[in-house]
Amino acid sequence: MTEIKTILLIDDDYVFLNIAKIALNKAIPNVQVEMVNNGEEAINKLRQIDPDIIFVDINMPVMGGWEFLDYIFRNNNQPLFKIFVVSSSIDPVDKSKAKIYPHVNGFIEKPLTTEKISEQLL
Amino acid sequence: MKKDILISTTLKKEFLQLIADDNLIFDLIQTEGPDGLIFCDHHSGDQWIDLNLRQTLGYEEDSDLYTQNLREQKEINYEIQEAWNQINSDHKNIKRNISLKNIKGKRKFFLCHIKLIENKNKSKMLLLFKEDLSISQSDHKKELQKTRHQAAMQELLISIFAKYINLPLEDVEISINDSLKELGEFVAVDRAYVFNYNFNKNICDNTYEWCAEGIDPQIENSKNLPLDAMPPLVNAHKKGDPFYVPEVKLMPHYGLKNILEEQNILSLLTVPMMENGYPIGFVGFDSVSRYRSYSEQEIGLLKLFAEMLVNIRIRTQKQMETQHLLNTTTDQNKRFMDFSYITSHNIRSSVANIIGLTDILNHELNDNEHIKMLQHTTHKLDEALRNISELLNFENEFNSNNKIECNLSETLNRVLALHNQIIKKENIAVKLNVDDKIVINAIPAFLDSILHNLFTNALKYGVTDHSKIIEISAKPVTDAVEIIIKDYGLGIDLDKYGADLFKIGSRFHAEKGNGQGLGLFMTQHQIKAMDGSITLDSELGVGTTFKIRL
Repeated sequence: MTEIKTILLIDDDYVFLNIAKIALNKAIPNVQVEMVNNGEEAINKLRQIDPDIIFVDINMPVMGGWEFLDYIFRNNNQPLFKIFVVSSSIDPVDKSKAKIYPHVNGFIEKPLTTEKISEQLL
Repeated sequence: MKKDILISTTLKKEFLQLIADDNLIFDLIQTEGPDGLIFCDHHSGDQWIDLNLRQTLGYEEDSDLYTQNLREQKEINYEIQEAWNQINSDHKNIKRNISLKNIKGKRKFFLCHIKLIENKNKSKMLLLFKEDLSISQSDHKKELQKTRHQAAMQELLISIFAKYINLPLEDVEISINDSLKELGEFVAVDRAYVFNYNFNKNICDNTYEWCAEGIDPQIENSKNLPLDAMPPLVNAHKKGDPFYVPEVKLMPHYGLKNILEEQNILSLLTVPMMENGYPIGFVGFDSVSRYRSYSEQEIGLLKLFAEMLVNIRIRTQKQMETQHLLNTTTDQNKRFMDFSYITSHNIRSSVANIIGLTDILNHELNDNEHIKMLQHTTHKLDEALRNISELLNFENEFNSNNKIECNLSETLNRVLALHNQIIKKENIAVKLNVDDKIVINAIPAFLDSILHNLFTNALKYGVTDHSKIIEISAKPVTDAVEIIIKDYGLGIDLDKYGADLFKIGSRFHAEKGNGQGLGLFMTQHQIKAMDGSITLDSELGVGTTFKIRL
């Protein structure tokens, strides 16, 4: 795996964002963690930064996770970043839906822990 | 033979004198009990035909048989002449079969006892007519007609009944109107109708009506009719009896008579619709163009129709109750789905945060004992949430999954692979005896879950320090496959827990502690959903054997 420099977290839950940031910093020292609150903010952010990894939640106001994934799928055939859907949902429907998107690399159940990060990324 | 003459009143007087004087003649008439008689004089050719015979032949009391019906009279004269020819001093009594036409031209058959009465050289003859029903063709025809009528009636009933069986309720209304028409036409009445009773308001309402051509409908005039106006009708119906008026004009004067006369009804037949011994309404026939009497069969026909309407009503009510129940359940189910969503998303998201936060705290506070407890509690809460979610998703999965052919051996290997680590670590011997050709018609997710649950149970409770064997075997039985999962571990006290085995929240091994009491409940649910069965055999300290048929 190439070096991970920048990670984009998309979630409207600031508690989750903080927990995730702590876990990411612990798992990947010196990584830059950018945080936005929904899909639309993420699209704007992507004009400024070039993340290696994106973690996206499903249920968010303004633009949710599925819409964000649709947007990426339509506008970026071969994104340079990896995308993981991160959700608190334990509904099997959400998990299987995430598999439909070809550029989604995985589904991670919240909370995002150092163990899960290591398992998926390192 | 003399030509046609008037009724002889002289002969009538003579006849009356004769029976007064002559006991033998009187006795003869008594024993014969004739339906009619003729008394005639040989010399004058006069004859007296009594009232009974005239009525038997359909003539009115005051009608003059001679003048009105020459042909019929000729026939009588002919028969009398024949009798004179046969009767003489040696044969004073003879019996003959005689047939006479009635007023409508139909032939009636009589056995005629003819007696010669000789008095002072005057010969008179008495003919006693006794109707012979056994050879009466008209009666035979009537009988035949009756049979045909009954057959037609049965056919009508069958056709009506057939129509109502499984009739969608929205079509019932049209069908009732159709049936009223069929019945009305069959029985040849002017109106056929249905009324509903409303004893709370003390009224009845005309709900359905059929009218013959040219007959005015009365349904609009027959709303909210007060029951106070019709006690005899209501009382008859309350007893379950028909209310039958052959001639409305003969009814005593009360409200109902006025109502009927306002509608020009001459004859009326109504039959109550009884539910649990109580009239809920009635069906009826009206005649306005002529007087109408009804045979028992016709009344029976109407009774059956009434019964059928009651059945339909009961069915309608049941269906409405079912619909109501369905609506309520659908509504509840929707809220249930909302609850399911909130559980698996909203609550779960908070729990995920708490897990994350306790992990951080645990790290920061260097394994603080209380943080460890919080962590433990939070994980239990998370597990409970997952179980609830699984339970709530059961219906969804069932609806979205169809049975397909699943290879049992492959499925088992997949389930066992999930437990590879623990099997190796604990040194457990899993003895698998399953032909790799066995396929089961099942919902894959359910089959996975069932085997997973039972195998996990066996690992938890079937493996002890002394026994580390789990046996899994399968064999085809009639129309199914039997899967056996056997262990030699703790066992379950069936006397104590037997009744609760598959109930939600049941746990049998307190010391092993971490079960939620959902495993067997879900397993049985899933097996039942696939029309399978599950049984178990267990003894404390000996082991447990689960048998599934799918």
